Amino acid sequence: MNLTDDLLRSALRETGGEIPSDRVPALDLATRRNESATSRRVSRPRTRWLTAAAAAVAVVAVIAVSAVLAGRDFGRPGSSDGPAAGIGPLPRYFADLETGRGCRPNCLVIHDARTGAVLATATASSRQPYGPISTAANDTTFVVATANLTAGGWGGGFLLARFDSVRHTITFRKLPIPPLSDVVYGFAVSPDGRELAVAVNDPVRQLRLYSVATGAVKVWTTTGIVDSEYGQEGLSWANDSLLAFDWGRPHDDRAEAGQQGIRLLDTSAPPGDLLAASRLAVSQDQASGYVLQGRFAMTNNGTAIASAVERWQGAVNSQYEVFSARTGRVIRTFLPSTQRGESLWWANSAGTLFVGSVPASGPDPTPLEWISGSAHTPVRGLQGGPLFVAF
Amino acid sequence: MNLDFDVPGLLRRNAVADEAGAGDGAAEVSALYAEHALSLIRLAHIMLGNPAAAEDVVQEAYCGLYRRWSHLRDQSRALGYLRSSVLNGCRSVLRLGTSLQLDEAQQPSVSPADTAVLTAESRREIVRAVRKLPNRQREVIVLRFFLELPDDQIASILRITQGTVRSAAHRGLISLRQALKETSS
Repeated sequence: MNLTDDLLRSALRETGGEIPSDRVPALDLATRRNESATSRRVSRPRTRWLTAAAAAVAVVAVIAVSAVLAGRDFGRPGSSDGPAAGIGPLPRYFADLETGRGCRPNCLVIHDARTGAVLATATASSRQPYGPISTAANDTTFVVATANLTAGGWGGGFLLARFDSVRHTITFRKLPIPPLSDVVYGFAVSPDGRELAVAVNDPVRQLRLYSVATGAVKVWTTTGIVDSEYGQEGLSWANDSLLAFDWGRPHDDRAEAGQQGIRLLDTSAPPGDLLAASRLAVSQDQASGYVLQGRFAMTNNGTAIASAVERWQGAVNSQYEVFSARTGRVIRTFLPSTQRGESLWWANSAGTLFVGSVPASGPDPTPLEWISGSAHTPVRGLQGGPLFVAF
Repeated sequence: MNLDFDVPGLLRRNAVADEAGAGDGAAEVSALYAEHALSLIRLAHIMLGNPAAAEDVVQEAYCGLYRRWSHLRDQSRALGYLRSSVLNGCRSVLRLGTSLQLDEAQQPSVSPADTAVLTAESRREIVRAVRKLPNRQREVIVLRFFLELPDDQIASILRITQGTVRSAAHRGLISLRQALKETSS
């Protein structure tokens, strides 16, 4: 079936129309209000007691687990003065894709990572809009996808962008990777800038590893979707051979049950079946009370994975959590400074994250910030909501 | 059902006033119900495939609005709050696995006029594929193509950025087209 927007619209309208207009039951607010109030009055003392007890147990458990794991998997957080103070080297620059105010169709913008100041801007041509971005470890080399206008996604080509930190200029070189007819779901350049991992899912489902120099490719095939639902954040390198990827959505019928989540692949191993070649690091298990948001970053020492997480325990909390890459357990939880944690682009083993969250007062722009322990340091200078951000 | 969702910024944080019933709001909430309940039940039905569960989700959403009416900072945003609550209620139902999908035989038949554009089976295939999308993509697709909301309103209801709305819609449409290709091949 060739699904057009009109067909989709008709299907949804007709399905909604299965509810006839006379099927709206009466609303009895008085009864419902009384039921709710009575229910709250009766349950509160017990709920409070149980909540207090549960909280105490949880605190003890978290302290115990942290004490055991912190030294091995994830270092102590840095100074509460913020990311600039004493927590190890942070990237100097990051790139993002912006639109508006002279950026037509869009621009690649290089920012100072601590202040958000704009250092350089490159405007895309109308025939080749820029797409998601990925960054090598030297923080001045970026890979930018261009639009595949035929497939309606990204992967029309890949550009290597180098930022000159002295002259504040950006130079581009086209990578020898052929335009992809498949729809690209995500990609990430290795820390040394020599390899590009690309997830394609339509029409085939593969994880490909391209040589940036020659275009030579290794292919792992898979049944489930290698997912980077929003761009490039679903793939993350720890070092030049260890790649983390988000595999199998909760509703992905073709993904083997119990195998879904963030998986680790040793890319030096021979190509073949992706599931067999990789291991599950953090489980995407609905029963465990959380959903990974498909936006994560692995620390460069490969010991921990930080992810945006939606967790429900009475209420839905959108926050950031750090998992041990070895055990899959939560090591640490970070709360966004705003209502809802959404995107996570960078994490290090000292306990610092770079994130984007959705504010309480409205959806745009997405505030970007460094989080270290309980300290939040906002990064400004981006216009509008950033489409893609890369470290 | 646990209504665990507040639209941030819409509600004043005033726990004491929660019990007071000051301002009541019964007339306003009832008026909103008369005007929007049908559309919201239809929205929930698309998400859940279960009319009874859809009605329950919508009733709970209005009940939540009524309980919090005195805390509303901006009552003109009540419809957005209701839409958010309904979608969140649908998520809760789906999460608990309590949505009883109707058998094909129980599905109401489509009128002959409709079949000129879309056969009943095609429609079911499309909606089945929509219901299999990840939560956010499904919600964006339904808000955009059923309620015909612009991206800024969808972003506000789902508390996500407009960039995320666009990418979720894009990915959702790709997934739908792929799923329907696989179904028909």
